[in-house]
Amino acid sequence: MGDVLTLVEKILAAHSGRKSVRPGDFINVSVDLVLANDITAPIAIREFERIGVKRVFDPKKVVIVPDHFTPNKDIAAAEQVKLAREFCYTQQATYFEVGTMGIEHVLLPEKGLVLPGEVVVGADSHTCTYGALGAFATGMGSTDIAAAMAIGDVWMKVPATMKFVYHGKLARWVSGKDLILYTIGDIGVDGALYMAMEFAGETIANLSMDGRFTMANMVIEAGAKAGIFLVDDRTLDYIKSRADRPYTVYQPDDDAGYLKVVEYDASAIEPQVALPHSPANTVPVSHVGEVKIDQAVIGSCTNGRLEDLRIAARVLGGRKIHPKVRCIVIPGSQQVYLDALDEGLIKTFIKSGAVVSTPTCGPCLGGHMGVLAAGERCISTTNRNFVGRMGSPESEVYLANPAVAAASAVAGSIVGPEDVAR
Amino acid sequence: MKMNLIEKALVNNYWGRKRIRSLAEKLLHYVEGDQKLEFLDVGCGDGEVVDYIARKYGSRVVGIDIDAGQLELARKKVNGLANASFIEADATSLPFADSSFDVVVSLGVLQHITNWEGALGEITRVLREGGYFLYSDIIYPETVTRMDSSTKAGFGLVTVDLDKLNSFIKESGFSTLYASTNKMLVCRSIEAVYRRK
Repeated sequence: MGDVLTLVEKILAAHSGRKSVRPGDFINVSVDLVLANDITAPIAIREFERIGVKRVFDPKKVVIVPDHFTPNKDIAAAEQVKLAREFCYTQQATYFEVGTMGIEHVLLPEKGLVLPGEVVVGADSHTCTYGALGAFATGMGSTDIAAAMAIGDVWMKVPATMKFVYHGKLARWVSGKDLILYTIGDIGVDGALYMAMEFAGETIANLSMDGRFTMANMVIEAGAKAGIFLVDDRTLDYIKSRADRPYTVYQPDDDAGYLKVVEYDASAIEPQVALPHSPANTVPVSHVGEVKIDQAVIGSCTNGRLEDLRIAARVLGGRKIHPKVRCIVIPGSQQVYLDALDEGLIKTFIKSGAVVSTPTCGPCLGGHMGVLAAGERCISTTNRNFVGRMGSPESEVYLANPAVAAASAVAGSIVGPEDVAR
Repeated sequence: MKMNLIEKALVNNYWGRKRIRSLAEKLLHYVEGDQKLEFLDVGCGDGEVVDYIARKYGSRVVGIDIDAGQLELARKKVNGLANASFIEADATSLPFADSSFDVVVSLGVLQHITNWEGALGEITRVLREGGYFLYSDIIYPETVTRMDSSTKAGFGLVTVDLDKLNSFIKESGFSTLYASTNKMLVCRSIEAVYRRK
């Protein structure tokens, strides 16, 4: 057998100056972008200073996005952001100030900061989102990120690749969120532990970029090191107007050594809901039963893109949010916000009784903009429903796609969009 | 081919039963229908899966196996359940009319049948339109099966060619509801749910 490589192995080989890598190899990888946010950057900056280097390896390749507790929710958040901001000014690294910032994983692809074939490391677990663009992207701890900022290199073990193939046409209201929830439900939260998940099949070929971002975003919830999609016309179309530098499109070899290949009939999948307290605790929405909700969150790095807002608006248009439900809509970036305004989506949300927030991670991690009290339940388009994730340890989070979240906000309990919309 | 004593010891134990039961449970998840469904377990062995289905669904379940000794264990296990029955038969020549079952289960069996393609043909024949085929096997590389067949103490393993299997499934009008192939040391394993159109 010659060197038959998966997509991820090709990218990692190219970035480690090798002809070939095998799963399990320890390699040094040169990175194309290093990312941190307002929570993780301060720790990374302190470690960076302790290393004793003066300058980051390449200011163009270091990005800090203050998105978790911004606009600053309290003094501690303000201090964190101040430290990150000053570091970027000194280092001339890229910094997105409130007003231009968005949720990092929505913002970076939108700004063309991630391109196919690149390696991105970020001090945020959902950095894996960029796999949608055919890049190798993975989350790391702040100290690793400090080292990467200093030398532009990280060490890692080459992950084995699992391939997920989806067949068939998706039913109405079924999206990338449902595919990934269904998959995590099948393989479990450690089903892809330290592996790369490669997504393929005709369902994926027909899936929008926003749907692919959603899927790649949640691979970490199956324990994966990275998720990756093949670059196709849709990808190229997405980056066409954004790319300002050359990039390489890699293809996996035929007969590449996949550790596991899983095939699903996607046409049989209905909208999924992950019940508390695990993203793997998924059931079809029709099996949820009577669950009253207090809050619905539509947004986040998982589902805060234009397509997500369009779907939510389609459900909410001409309807009213249930009087006992707070519905919080959070566009993922200023651009998404603007586009949603242009399309009249924001008007639809406000008229239906939802509140629309500036881009922020906010409630997803129980930060601000919609923290839950004890005994409260929230349906959310975010990615985690662990105990206490959105506030009180006695609250509950149910994960779903934007259509289900919007429909539930109208009904006051968890229902599928078919129950509310035509 | 019948399993030898060593392999029986590997399969007919607590862990073997637990494994096969949880695999059956997982694959049955894809089957939609009610108590009226009729099940066939091809190569039912000691009847673990027949017992599970018969009790869980209350449906009629038939188990066939080529090994009378295994069937004896199976009959003991179901302990007179009216909806479970067993027949000593060869998977490559099933004693049933065409389109007799809604669900055919065959877990870890084809890997023991030299004419596994013939068995697949028989499974397809007895399956009704819209019926389900729940399947699992270990895919041994040919070097392993050659080695196995060259020794008297061999397990009677054959290599189920995945490419041939996949094209059979396609050409026989099955759709793949779920399929998972795994690498395990030098082997691969497959578990799948196919549905006849």
